[in-house]
Amino acid sequence: MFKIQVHVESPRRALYLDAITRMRKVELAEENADALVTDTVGEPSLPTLLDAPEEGDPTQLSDLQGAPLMPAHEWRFAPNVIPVEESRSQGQLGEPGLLRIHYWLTRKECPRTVAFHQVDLAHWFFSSPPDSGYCHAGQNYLLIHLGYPDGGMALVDIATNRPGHSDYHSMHLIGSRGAAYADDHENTHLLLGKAGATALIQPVNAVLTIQNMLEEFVAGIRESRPWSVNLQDTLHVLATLKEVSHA
Amino acid sequence: MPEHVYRALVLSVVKHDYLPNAVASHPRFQLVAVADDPDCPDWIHERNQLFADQNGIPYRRDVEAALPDCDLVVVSPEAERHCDLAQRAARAGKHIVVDKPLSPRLAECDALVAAVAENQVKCLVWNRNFLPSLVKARETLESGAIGTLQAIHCDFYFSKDAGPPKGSRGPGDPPIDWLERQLEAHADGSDGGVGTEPLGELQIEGIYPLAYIHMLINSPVERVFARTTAHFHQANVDNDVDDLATVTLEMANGCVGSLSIGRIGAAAHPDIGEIKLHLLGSEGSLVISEARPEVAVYARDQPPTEFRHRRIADENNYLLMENFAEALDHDKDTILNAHGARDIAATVQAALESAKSGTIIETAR
Repeated sequence: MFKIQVHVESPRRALYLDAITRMRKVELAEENADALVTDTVGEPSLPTLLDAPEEGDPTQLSDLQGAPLMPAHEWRFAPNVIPVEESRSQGQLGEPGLLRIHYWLTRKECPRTVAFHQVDLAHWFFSSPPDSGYCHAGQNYLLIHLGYPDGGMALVDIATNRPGHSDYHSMHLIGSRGAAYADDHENTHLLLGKAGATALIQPVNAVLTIQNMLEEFVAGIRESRPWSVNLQDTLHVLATLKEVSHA
Repeated sequence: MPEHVYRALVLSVVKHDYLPNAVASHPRFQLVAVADDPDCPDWIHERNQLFADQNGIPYRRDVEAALPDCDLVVVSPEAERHCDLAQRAARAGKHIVVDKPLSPRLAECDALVAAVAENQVKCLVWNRNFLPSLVKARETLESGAIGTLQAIHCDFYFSKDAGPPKGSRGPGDPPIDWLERQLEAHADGSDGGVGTEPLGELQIEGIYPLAYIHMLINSPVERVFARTTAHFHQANVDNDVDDLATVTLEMANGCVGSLSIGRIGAAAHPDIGEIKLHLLGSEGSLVISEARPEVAVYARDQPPTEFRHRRIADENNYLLMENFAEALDHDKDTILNAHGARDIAATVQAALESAKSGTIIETAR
């Protein structure tokens, strides 16, 4: 059995525990672990999945490049993102041209923190950091507009502390040969009640996302290969966010 | 007492004919003739004559001679001639319904705005602001349901092909001639960019989503940041015009907005394309699919070019002409007048400059 120790605070801890219970030949361990999940940046003694990399200090993270450390860019493993990336990497979409993301959350959170993972998706789909950028920041709001080499472009719209109790995520990636749409609007179900019609939206499945990410983490260790995401990816995103904030 | 029926002169109808047809279908308007300048190329005369014959009205190759015998003009030539014909009508004291875009050149838009004001005529620039989804969006905003509008975003994609795909030109092949390509596109109504001057998607279609934003936010655009590219079609590459663009908009009232627009190819959507609005307010949010309501029809042996989703309850044409009739009857303003369309043209111009320079550009006010 592959043993994973989890040093992450709740409620994130609960997600990791839930995900581990769904994995084959993987179990939670409090000692003698094969790997570690932690949200604390430090020189790892075990292969480590670093949770919340968006909170990391770029200098500290830069010093850790080369260490056995996979940053938790979890949105790359979200159920709604995987088909988009697969269609892109398999060439179905052709050259990526435009990525559009809307992400509106009810919880109070810094929009820049939320933007980390969405900007990471943009870097990932366009296979490079951007070469131009613009940012508009307001209270609980961030709009980021990025340009990529070869003409690609991304618009990321983030709003936090929204009224109500439903988050909303809409994403589409348009390429030269096709497009992929992952859209909460299209996935709306209707509740017709006393107050009229209410839209029901299934939020992104957090446990599945963590499980998918853990599968990659464990597979990379078992297969002795580099993980699909690394600290350089984290540093690129942090650099982009810093760059556009000053634009 | 029966309401006055306004007599409409069609000044050129060389692209899709939905504009004069929309005018003709409203009971308060009657088409009386088609007219154009005598020195136009043959293909223009042919299209004008065809429309005149289909509608049982004469075609006159003399605009100035035809102008006295009408109350208003319906201007639908190539975009590069929109303002010239409209100005001449304004100076003759005639009201104007003009197709979009107003003009690729801001100076011409300014001249038309001045002519309209000086001659106190009404001007309606064609738009889609009376689509049922936009009417609903406006009503919802005005009701206060989402509070104060803070941000507005519009996706406006047509999933149509526009000739051979990018990268298809063989070594030694000549570049695609823009006018020839547009003349070919007339068959499926995709010739909004017809003319000798190549136009990108932002110039051809940008007025529609920018008019949505203009209506809903009611504040001028002050600054833009844009990216454009020819991503899909060889004709756009060869003529150095965009078929994909993103624009961020900063409004005078502090709101922010964005537009993503493109002619993204027939393979990129199961239907005509994704047209959507996202509105963020202080008390709530609104997500609008511009095409709905619609009915979907799927059938064996359905032609691949037939759109599966059919818009229903679309009163845009009727309501636009109703709005124009009211403007004429009661000396009111139209839902999108020359000034508003001019501001939209200024936004487009600034966006193209921003895309070229990679910097934020202020719109010309």
